[in-house]
Amino acid sequence: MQPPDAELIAQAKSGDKQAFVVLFQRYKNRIYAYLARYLRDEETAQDLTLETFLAVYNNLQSYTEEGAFLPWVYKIATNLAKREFRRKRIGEISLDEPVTESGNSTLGDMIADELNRPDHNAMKAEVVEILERALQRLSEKYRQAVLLCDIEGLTYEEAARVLNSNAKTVGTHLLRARKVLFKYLLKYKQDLRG
Amino acid sequence: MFPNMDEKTIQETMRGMLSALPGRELPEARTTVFIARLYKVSEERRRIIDLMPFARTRAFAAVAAMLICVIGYNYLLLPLSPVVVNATGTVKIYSARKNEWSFVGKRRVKLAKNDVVKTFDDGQADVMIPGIYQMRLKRKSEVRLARSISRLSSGNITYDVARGKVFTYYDKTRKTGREFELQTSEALVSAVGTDFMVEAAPASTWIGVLDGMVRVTGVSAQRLAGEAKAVLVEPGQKTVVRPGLAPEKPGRLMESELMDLEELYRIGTKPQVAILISSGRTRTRELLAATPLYVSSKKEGVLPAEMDKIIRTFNQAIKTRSKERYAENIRQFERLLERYPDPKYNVQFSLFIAAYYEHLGEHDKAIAAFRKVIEKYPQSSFASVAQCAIGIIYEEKLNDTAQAKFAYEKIISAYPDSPEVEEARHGLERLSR
Repeated sequence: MQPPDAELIAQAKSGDKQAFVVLFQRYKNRIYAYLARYLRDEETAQDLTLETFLAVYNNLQSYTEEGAFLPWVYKIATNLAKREFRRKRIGEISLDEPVTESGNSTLGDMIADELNRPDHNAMKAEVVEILERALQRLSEKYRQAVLLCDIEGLTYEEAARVLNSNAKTVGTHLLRARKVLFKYLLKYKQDLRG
Repeated sequence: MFPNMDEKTIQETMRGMLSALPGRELPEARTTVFIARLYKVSEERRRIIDLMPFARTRAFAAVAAMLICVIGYNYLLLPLSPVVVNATGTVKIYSARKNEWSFVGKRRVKLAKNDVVKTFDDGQADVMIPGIYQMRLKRKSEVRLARSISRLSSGNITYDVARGKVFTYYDKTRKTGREFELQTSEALVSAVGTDFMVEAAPASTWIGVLDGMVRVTGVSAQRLAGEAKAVLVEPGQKTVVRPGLAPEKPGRLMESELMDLEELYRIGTKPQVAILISSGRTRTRELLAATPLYVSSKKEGVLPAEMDKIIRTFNQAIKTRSKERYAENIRQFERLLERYPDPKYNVQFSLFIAAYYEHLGEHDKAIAAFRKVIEKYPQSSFASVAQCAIGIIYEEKLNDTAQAKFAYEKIISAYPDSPEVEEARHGLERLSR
């Protein structure tokens, strides 16, 4: 049985590096996935994941919130990512841009099929890629809401804490983000038909 | 059907699709690197933390070293300032720096080079560097600090004595390569030893030595003849330097002069009780010739008042040579000593009592008393004096050659470094004739 976060944190606080490594192993992939989707850059996401955990380690003594470890880590990761955005001036990407390098297939084409499938867990690799790319084309605040709530499974409250916002706002953003994504997909479906 | 989906379905579908997106794995290489780095970082952090006290220590050490340098420079290299203390009556100081005279009063005044201390008709003052020398200026005296020293330097301490009487105690043993000099118009007096007095009169300079040795050079003679004429003055001796002449051959101090020198015991840290004998080879004979006992009246409560009173009576009796009064007092004194045993003074008192029995002609009692001194204070520098006194009494008063020889031989074997050895050798020589 895996020891709970609180126990590991307490041990890490008292200088037990092994305990921190367990925490790191437990959450590294989730943070990495979040950052990769948020930043749309795998390489930078890897760097920032490590940087995030380093910051977590260095600031462990100041961490006092009970049972909210993961949101705290997400928050640190988000702050580092925002800093990275400012530094690189990464802009938004339009959904109309060609998905593949050859440019003969659009995002809408691929998603149209997928929307009719009842079992999302068996999405085609191709569709996953399309959805990922669609996500990347969402505006930052919508993307954050989707990433934290739908993909990472945080509650509205937890996501709100990460984003320095409130649960209602996050909820609103999430609903709108899903609708925007849906509208994109619909648009491409109609385009496909037309 | 697709465009006609209701809001709820749209939300559910999208949520389902999004949550089904596969996770990602941080490459194993990065994970490994991070864990290694984590351990290293904590090592570094610890090292930084460990280094903190060291850095603080270094800063502290630097500050401390600087302070030590500054203090050390001041302490070791800057000239030591003699202080003028215990001034009574009219005493004035001339500050060479300010070019003005001022009264000393009760103040402690520091002397700088070329400053002058002057005592008037009713004045007296002590000038000293504690632990190195003490000098007492009697009334109508004037000295100028011609040269001072730092703790590290080996130069000379020189005072010009314009006039008056100066008692000096100089601790020669403390530092070699240093000379203490008193310069008068006629004589240059250098302390080879410790206790001496210089009196600069208009026509001559008188020098008396109580302890150690003093070298006296005739200054004006040296100027006239172009060569140094110096004599060494030993304990219990005196000399006079007159204008244009070399110092006189040192002669013995008269009893009255010895009593004059008793003042040396009042300067600085000298013991408060003293038998007025020199520290030279003649001291045993000085002791046996009815020597006054000096007790400082400065420190109240050092001795019981009744003891002090008896000592005064003794000293008065010596001056008036009244033997009856000794006999009466000596027994009283012995009883008192038993009541106030003070190891600091008892050896002097015991010696004093023994000498007085001898003076009264009670030789057996005297020898018994001297034996008591040796028995009770074998480590005292007076033990050899007591042993020598026993030898002299046996030889000269009781004509007991065997006992006298035994006593003298004991001095040579038990106190080979004492000034009494010479007296013992002479005694043995006389006895073997």
